[in-house]
Amino acid sequence: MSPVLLSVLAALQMAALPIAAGPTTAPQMAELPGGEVRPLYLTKDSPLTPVAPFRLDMTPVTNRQFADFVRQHPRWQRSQAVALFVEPQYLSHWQEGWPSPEQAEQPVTYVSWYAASAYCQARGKQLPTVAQWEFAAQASEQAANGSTEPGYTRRILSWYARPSTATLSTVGQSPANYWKIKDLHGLVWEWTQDFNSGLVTGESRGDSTLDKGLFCGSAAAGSADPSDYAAFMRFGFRSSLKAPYTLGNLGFRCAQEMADENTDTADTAGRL
Amino acid sequence: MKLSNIVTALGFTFALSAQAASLPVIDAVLTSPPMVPPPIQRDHAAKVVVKMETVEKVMEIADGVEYMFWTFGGSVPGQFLRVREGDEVEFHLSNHPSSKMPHNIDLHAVTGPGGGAAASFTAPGHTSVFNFKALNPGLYVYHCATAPVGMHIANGMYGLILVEPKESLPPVDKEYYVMQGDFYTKGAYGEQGFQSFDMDKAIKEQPDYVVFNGAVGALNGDKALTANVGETVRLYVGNGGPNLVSSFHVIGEIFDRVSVEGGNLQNENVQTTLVPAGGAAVAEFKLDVPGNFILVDHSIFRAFNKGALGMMAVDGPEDKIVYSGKVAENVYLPEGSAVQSMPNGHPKLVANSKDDQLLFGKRVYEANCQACHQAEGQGIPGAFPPLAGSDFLNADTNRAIDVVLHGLKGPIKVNGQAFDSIMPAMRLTDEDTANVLTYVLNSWDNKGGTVTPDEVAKRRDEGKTIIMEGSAH
Amino acid sequence: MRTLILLTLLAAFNLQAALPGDSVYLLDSHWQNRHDKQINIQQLAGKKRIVAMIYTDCITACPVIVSEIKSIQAALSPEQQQRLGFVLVSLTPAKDTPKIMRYFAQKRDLDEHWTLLSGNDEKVRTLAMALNIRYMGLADGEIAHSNAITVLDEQGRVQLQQTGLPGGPAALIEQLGL
Repeated sequence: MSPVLLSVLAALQMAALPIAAGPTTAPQMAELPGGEVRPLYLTKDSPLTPVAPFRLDMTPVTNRQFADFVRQHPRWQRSQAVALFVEPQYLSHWQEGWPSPEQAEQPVTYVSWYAASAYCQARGKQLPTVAQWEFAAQASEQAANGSTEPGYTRRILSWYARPSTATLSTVGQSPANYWKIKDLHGLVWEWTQDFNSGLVTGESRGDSTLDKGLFCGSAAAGSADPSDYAAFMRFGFRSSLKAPYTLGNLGFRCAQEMADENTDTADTAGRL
Repeated sequence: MKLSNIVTALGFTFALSAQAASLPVIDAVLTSPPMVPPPIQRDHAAKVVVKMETVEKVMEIADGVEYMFWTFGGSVPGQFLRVREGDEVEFHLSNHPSSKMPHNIDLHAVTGPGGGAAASFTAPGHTSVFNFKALNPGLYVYHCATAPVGMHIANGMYGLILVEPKESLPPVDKEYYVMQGDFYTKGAYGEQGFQSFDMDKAIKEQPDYVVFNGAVGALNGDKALTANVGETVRLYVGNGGPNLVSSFHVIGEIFDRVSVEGGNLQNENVQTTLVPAGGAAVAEFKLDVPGNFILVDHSIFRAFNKGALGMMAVDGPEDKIVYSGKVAENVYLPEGSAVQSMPNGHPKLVANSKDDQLLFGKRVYEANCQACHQAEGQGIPGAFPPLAGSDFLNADTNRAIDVVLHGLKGPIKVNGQAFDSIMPAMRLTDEDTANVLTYVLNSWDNKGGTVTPDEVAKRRDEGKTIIMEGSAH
Repeated sequence: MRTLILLTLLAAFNLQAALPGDSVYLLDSHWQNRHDKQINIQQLAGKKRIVAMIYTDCITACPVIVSEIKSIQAALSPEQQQRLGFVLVSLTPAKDTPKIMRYFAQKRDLDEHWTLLSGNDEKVRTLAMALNIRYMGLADGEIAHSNAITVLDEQGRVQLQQTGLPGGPAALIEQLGL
């Protein structure tokens, strides 16, 4: 074979160029203004984490939307994705290798963090940070911060207590919250960009302060709010995850930064 | 040195060191409550592989009441583990893919941070493996320690691990696994349908259900524990809590031996033993008579109103000396045949002399008559006739007795004054009537004399209400 | 010249094809090293690597990590050193420019067996995911992060990960089977 042809093939293989993109399908987005959200661990310098204005998908990504992405990026097909990026259960609920009609509008599950990140990046977005997700999720239907409303925590906890039923409901069935975002509670757990920033060891009795032997960090870090145990359970769940994991009740949605030089934003490492 | 010699020598050393380093590998036998794995027969340590699964499932906590339990191995309490002092355990904790929550395990038998909790923190659909050595013998609780810990325990994530001592436990005929837990539901005890966990009640330590082995009636009816007369029974009793301490008692039996708090200390002849929350105890007893022996938490409202009640059904021949059952039933009558009543609620005082009558009579007057007829018997003009120097009174003693016993109504004239009213019949005993009349007759310039109880009794039978002529009443 | 290009491309092609499915190098990300050169993470393949994620501003545990790795380096024989490299990845890429990294390497006396990498926040987060390193930015500018060091084998698979050197550098070197 001609050396030129060989080298072109080699280059193509390494670059992993996407096949020509079809029509892009993605959830609609809502705009959220900047604000503050309470992190799991307080520090003495800054009790609240600032969040810059951003856009967030109004519903989680569906099986149909993820299938479109996989068609455009075959390296994310179940048969192609590598072990570093996905566990063996990746997309195992797509019986024929593609979602069934009933699954089309259900939130996609059995996707890893890498797969979810790749989807968002292909749409020009990213996974929301924990701060962005929690900021959006603390809203009730009536208020930006509904966490003090009676019944707010109870409603969330009743979902955590309900069994993981065999069939997921389709997206968008729950009432929209104050930011017009749906399904943040009560449908599936969702990936976040920096879920591995929760320095929870799993030894919850010791988790109220950072374990000095395991983590480098200032002494001030590490007092979780014990009263919001719904949030504690979410952070605990996130801490049990690793990036390649695929779970039947874990999906995702995407966020998008809104470029605004005048606002101080925390970078993905959480620093201003 | 010849090559073959070197190889042999090396091979030999390798084999020896491999043997010294490695223990025989055994798969652990796990049982669901109330059964217990068989006693350990070996006399050496082993590497025991334990595979346990955490599962979230809806089960009945009482008839018609469903609850979302989080479990080890699908049961509350979780499966019973049995190892030997010195064993090295390879623990595989798998979290079922259908779980919503991550879970882990803290075994109180583990010496090490968190009792294994950090090492076993597992997301749904994954398995964690960690090793520990069972250094101390005893009966230990294990439970999930994922935040919020109280909620995971309150939902049923606890069980027992027995580390048999090297010299092994004395054999018994029957061994059973009983574990108490308190449960907190949104609805009240017995409220039907699916009940969810109530964190507020859990924090206030106000359970709706306190049960053995995860449900009301888990050890009743056809699920009762069984044994036979003459057998020795050993109960491995745990208390998962999350909050309450148990006062464990078997009605009709005495524990011949109790391993206090699951440790080495032995107590004997114990009626009720404390089982701490997150703790255990071992109770042994020999059955001498047949019958149903009820297991309770002797904080008794828990047994009868919250479900902390189980049963051991014992078959076998009776022993009437030890317990005879009812042998006789008779009527019981204390002294005398009539029912004695206490008038005015105070004990009867019998007057033995006129002085007594005057004294008692004064008390009766003050209590019953003074309000109307006043302290000096002067009465109130137009309302209540005077008794002091009363011509009406002094004219006819029998009539006076009748007035007190049966009452009077209609117009009368006393000391020239007219009265037209009703004197009600007084509910006084014969003695009190006699005493008060004697007092009145001997006070305030009245004629004197005495009235006896017999006279009163006679007038009680023969007299009647006096209705004066012209009475409008 | 053509043959050279062809051979290089073929070598790279073979390398990618040869990387096992759980190799961290499949991330295929590009980084800047202290010499202002852009390198692909796959170029780290071929020898074992001890990888740590630190940042130059860090004054608590990161200096200890660097000292631990240096003590490992001191205990290596020349043959062993050929088979082992050291990689420090900055958790604060915006601050740790190649110039800063050069200064840091000079201060800590880190020779050419040490590769210092600066990328961007997204690449750092993804690499941390692959190495299972947790970190969180704190408002006071510090970063709380896991102290673990990771050893990648010649093909980029995680061979082992531990915090500190219990048993000293010799124990780790033996475990690596260099």
